[in-house]
Amino acid sequence: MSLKDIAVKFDPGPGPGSPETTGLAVALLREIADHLLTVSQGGDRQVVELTNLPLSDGDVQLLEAKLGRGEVEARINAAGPTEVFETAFPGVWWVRYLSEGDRVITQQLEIGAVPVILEAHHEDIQASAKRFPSMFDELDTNHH
Amino acid sequence: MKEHDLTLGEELRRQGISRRSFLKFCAGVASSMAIPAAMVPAMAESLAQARRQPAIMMAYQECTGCLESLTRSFAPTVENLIFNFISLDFQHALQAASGDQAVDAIKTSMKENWGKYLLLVDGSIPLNDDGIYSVSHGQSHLDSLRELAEGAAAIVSIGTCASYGGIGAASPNPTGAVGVDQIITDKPILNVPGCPPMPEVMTGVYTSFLAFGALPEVDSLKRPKAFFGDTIHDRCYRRTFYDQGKFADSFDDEGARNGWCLYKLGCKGPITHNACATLKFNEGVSWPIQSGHGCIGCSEPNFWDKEGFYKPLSAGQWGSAEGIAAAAAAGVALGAASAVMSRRNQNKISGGK
Repeated sequence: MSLKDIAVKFDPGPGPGSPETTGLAVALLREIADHLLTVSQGGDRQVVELTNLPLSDGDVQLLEAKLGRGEVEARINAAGPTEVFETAFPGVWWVRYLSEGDRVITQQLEIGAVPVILEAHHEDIQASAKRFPSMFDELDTNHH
Repeated sequence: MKEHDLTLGEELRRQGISRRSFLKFCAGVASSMAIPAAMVPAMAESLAQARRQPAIMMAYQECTGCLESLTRSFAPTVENLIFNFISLDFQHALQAASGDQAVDAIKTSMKENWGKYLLLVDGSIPLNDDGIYSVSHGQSHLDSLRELAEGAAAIVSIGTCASYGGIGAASPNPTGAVGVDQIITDKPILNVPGCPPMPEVMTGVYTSFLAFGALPEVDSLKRPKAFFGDTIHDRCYRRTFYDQGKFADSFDDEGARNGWCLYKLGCKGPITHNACATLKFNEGVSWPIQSGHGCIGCSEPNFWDKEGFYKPLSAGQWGSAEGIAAAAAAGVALGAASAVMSRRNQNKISGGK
């Protein structure tokens, strides 16, 4: 028997590769329904953290299938990429924070008008308002 | 304004790092610490108000593996910035100065920041013969620790050696090595054990210290609960095989090749508290069990001396009978139970701060 006779199976790591669902996905869907109701009645933004839950591959597929895709898809480049898409239910967003090597750092379902990571933030807007007028100095210089 | 007077938020703006990048960093830390994700904007806000934190890092009886690990964490861009935001006034392996100059740096920092600095320690401290077995610049590490601890706001013991003595304290422990909390008893002490410890834990501890102004909640061994609250077994991706009774019986059998549970090969996962199963090492590449080797229990006290790494728990002297019985009895219900546990952790943390 040689080494070649020993079949090596690649171990994909977490998410036990099991296509079965654990019941967690359905529980999460109920939680999301509840959050959506809260937000629809003017309540605060809600976030469901997915990374720390022992979801099976089957659970994630079930979530993706049930939530579907909506009108918005966005990719943000800030400290590595972040992917955001709206689900088929307006107000329910899937947010995936990735490392520069496209590894998932954390992923969340955010329930609200706009995911926080997508907004332009007050501090950045202030800095940008300060920076903007310097454009006119340049324009003036070129003009004269 | 002097660079030292800037808040973290001002420093971020000065370096052109957007609030989005910062929020993303906070989301990563919050996720690793089971801080509720809805709290991230508030955490970012509070962190942005933080001012530079002086820190002194001492290496005692150690191998530098802890430092190797800590310099490899998960979100390099912002993380570097946050770590640069610590005023690390002394770290013998990283600083350029040596000899008298280096010692002067400690003295100056101690004087300027008395009562305010964080003391980070890696390595154990020998007690035998007045601590003569580990000495730097003519001072025993025992004396050095006592002197530095007096003016520290808090102490973080990095790695298993600083936490419980580690390999220095392994039988027959010729130098009488112990961990920091066996010497210093009147300061807040946090243990971040592991051989090596996980870099994300240090990031989390430091970030929460800056954001909330206090060390995180700890367990009976002074470990932050957010990272050490669950056992490796609770969060192991091979747990389903344990529940189904599918085990590897040797390192080259069918079970090993199929990635089944390593319990019978001596895995200490059921009684080891750490976050490797979810955070992994080397920026999330892998961790021991994913590489086909059982957990050796490196974040637990005296792990070197608990019989062999390859003896099953049921045969060894690890832990208590009830610990093992509980692990065996938990059974199929665990999938749901760990979800509940994670929520409970979240609630506790959000309630606390």
